[in-house]
Amino acid sequence: MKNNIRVQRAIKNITQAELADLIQVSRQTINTIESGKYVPSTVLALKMARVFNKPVEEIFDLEEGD
Amino acid sequence: MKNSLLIPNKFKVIGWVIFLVFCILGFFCLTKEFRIPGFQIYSLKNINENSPINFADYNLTNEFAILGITIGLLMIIFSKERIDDEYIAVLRLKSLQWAVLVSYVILLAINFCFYGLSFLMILVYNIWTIPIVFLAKFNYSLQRLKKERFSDEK
Repeated sequence: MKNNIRVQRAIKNITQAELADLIQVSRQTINTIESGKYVPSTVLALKMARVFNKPVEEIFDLEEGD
Repeated sequence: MKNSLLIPNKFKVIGWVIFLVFCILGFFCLTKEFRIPGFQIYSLKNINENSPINFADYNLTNEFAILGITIGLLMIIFSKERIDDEYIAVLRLKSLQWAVLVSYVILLAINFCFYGLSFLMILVYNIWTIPIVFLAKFNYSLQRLKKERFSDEK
């Protein structure tokens, strides 16, 4: 699964740590999600969508093989 | 998504203290034949000595040591991390899976390397293989996670 969290963060101008605080996870978790190593749960994805004020599909996207 | 099996983070320290103290007790119990005086079950004197059930060891020190080490280890592995989010939960489950597998590999290796009484002795220690391998693997994963480089430009 692809995601564009980095871009969304840049638009909103927040760091990984700030995003982590907003959705109550560790900064490391944000980093693993951004680098595509970990696919977050639906709860976390929805929380992120709420922070960025965008629908989940705009942040996460299926890719071939999913 | 609450994991009700986990206990608060402060039990990690308590668990380590219990584990280490009882490890020392177990060590002295095993090597120096240390027994806590009076800490035993007294049986009736005129038990039939030819009885096939022969209680050779009435003292509870070694049982106490096994109990303490086990409870300490369980406290360590079931306590939450300081920041316990869902990725940590994934790491925890992966480490547990890994630990079960490794402990069976160890058990099978022991199966072919030891026999008789020493095999039984090692089986006794084997009750702690899963928690110890789990701890090693889980903490290794956490360390690697901490060391990961951040690409954190604004």
